[in-house]
Amino acid sequence: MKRLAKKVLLIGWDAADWKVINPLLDSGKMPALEKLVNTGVIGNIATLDPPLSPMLWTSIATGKKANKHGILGFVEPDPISGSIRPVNVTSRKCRTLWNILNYHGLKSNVVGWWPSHPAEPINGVMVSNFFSKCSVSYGKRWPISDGSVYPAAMTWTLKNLRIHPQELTSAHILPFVPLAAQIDQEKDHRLAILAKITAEAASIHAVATYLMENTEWDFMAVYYDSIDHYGHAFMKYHPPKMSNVSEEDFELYKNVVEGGYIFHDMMLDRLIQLAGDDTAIVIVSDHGFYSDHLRPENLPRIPAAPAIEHRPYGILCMKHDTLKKDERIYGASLLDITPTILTLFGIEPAKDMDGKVLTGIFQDNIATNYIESWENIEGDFGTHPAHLQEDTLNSAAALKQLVDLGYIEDPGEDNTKALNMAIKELKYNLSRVYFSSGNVGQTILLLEELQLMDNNDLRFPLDLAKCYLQKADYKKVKHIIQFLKSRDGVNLSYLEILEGIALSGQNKIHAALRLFKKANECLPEIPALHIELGKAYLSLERFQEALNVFNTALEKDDENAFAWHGLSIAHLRLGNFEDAAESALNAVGLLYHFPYAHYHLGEALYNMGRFKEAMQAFELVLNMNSKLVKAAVWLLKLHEKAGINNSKTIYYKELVKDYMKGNITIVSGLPRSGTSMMMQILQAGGMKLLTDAVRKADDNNPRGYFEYEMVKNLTKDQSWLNKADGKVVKIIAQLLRFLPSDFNYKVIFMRRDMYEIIVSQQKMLGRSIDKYPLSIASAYEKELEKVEIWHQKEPNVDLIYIDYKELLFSQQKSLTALNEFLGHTINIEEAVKVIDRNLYRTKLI
Amino acid sequence: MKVIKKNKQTEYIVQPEGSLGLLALGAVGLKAWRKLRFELNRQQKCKEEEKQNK
Repeated sequence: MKRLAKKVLLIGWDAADWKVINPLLDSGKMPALEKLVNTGVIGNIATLDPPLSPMLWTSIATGKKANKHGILGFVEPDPISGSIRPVNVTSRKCRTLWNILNYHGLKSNVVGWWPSHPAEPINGVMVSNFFSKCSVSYGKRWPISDGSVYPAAMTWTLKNLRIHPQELTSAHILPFVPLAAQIDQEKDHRLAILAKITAEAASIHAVATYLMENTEWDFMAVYYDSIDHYGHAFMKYHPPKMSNVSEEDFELYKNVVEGGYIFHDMMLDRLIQLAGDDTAIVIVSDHGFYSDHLRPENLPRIPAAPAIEHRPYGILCMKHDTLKKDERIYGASLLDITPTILTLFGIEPAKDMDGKVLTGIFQDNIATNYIESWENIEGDFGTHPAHLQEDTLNSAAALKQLVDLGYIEDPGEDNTKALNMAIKELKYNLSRVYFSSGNVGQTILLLEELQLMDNNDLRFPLDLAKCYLQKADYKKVKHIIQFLKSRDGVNLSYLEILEGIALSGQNKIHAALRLFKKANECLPEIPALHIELGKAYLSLERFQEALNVFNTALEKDDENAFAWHGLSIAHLRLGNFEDAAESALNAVGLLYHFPYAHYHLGEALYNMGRFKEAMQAFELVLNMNSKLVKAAVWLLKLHEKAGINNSKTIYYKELVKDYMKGNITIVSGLPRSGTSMMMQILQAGGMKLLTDAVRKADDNNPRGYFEYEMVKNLTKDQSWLNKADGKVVKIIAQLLRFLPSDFNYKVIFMRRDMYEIIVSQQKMLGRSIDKYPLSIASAYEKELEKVEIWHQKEPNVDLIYIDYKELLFSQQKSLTALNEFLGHTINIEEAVKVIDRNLYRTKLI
Repeated sequence: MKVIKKNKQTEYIVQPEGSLGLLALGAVGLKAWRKLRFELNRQQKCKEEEKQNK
């Protein structure tokens, strides 16, 4: 692979968020970033679950999820004290970007990465995340943790670049808090917190700039945790004012978050200047940070609760001569950073990485070769020796056993408690990683183990219920709900939502809807609940109500991809195709790897006549999930329309061939619309019918009904459809939408004047025809709309409307159109013979 | 007050109380600020010593 960039500078801004940045860019307050944005590629970057920084930054540096890289939380068991310690890099189970660069003889400087302690022996300089942390008073000896700097010989030089919070002056504080002089610092310690965050950021920055100026490097990674820390301490004071914040606090601290971003932009300016023009620059955050009405007012008392303030989208901005300029990137994940940077260096990423190369950002097409893995290759990767590396969970278990056996002194009640808590959290985090990776089986195993460890922690049964929902094991979900109902402190509305989802899964939509509505009375602010409500309305084909609740969800959170997707479906079914496309675009803009949203985008574009774009959307669906064969059915339809016949057509045909069970011709319409006559026509024309003799001819249909009894049971039993393969079967309009999607259908839908239909039905039932039943007519009209919706959304359905009266009086014209629709399979001369105008007895005068 | 060059085009003012701008310059800014403070402290001490000697 060709090396594209001479050098790469990777800047980590923990928790940076476009929602805060965009207004600052607009008002010219972040000029350095603005320059990069205007000349580079930018986009949202999807975080991973759980959104805990040490896990995420290790995923960024390895391209792997936490179950592979082994960093599972903030703290871990300490084999020396028997208690806990901040997470160490020795618990990482795989190689990082800089390890791989090391193997290729490239020089890296890594500053402050979380976790990176003890510093690894790389070909370059590593300064660990312990380096800048300060816990001593100003003027006192400020020791540096052993292992903070590699090579150790650099320690003395770099040590003096640390800044103590109390070294800062009012000149550093006033830009954040202009009214700082009014604060009584004996009582209010928030200025001290601000100084600590700022000093630590400045320490990291001083070291990074020193290394950039004074060492040779190919790769430079510098991580600032300060935007996240400003956020956790001061986002509650960020405008707009939150109702639970006092006017006084708001006035004092409202500028801190903005000040933090501006300070980072100033530091960025310096980094860009030192990097030089030929360096690729990558700015990334691990997650965002809620800055608007979605900021939680209070955090629950659970471990890692501050992570609730993290928004699922971080920032990505990249600039280099080989990359596109002023472009947006969609669908990037934290896992993609390492494979993409390796590609910039002309080094193959590995197949065992969970991320992919962001090929779309490069100006030219790039060939990406993947090697199997970097893990088993012998060589100098600049990692710690094997004996220092630890498996966090295994060493925790071993440590506990040694304590139990008395080989290690009991760390004391508090330490043991802390150790047990840490082990519990590491396992819980791992369970979330498994769940978000779709490994429900492993998740259940871990959660069941955790529940045995701590029966009072309700996160475990709640997450178990989610797993059982995925496995459609509704009995177990019910069991958990009953268990949770018996516990104190459980919000019953949440259980109603859970029960509602389980009922939806069992197709008991009305019951689910009742529960969602009940929960909504107590929890009206939760977008996720509105989405469940919307989904229930969609299932019940109450599209306008679905539209309303999805809009409500978006009023609460306009960056909810699921709400946009639901809105898109509601618009589609209401025939608002442009709105549907726009909503689907919003959904995929927020969450690119969302095949269902791409699918509905394709459907909307198809209905707008934008066939080429629809094709692109359906192709993406298949790329993301090849099991969504309906996308291939659409693509075949589009290829046929455009006269395309290439290798892709063959591929789609193969996919569809394995999926489709047969081809059925259906005669449909409202009762008394001429469906029996159409059955006769097709029979006379030479087609085979699927009928039985259960319903006999009578005065209303003297030539017979041509029905098949099993059709009435279509909603429950579809097994008989195989018998209809290659034949014609009569199915009333109301049942069409229950047809499964794994057959191709050609539907001949009979239309007749509604008055004639109703009067004919009334006569048949022996009822008076003096009063026209308006309510029935209106229900039938709605049914016809539903048929059209079904036709639009199912790519396996071809439909022709045949007008009953026209068929009687313009026979040739109608039958020619019909024959064309059926691929010229009927004998028109024979077919026309069975049309009997004498049977047209109920006429509109 | 002292002036340091950030790059060829721009210069940066170093003041005794420091500034976020100086911190953003990184190692160079930090060192310049500390040097100025050290210098001013030294001068102050000299003045005080001179006063005492008088």
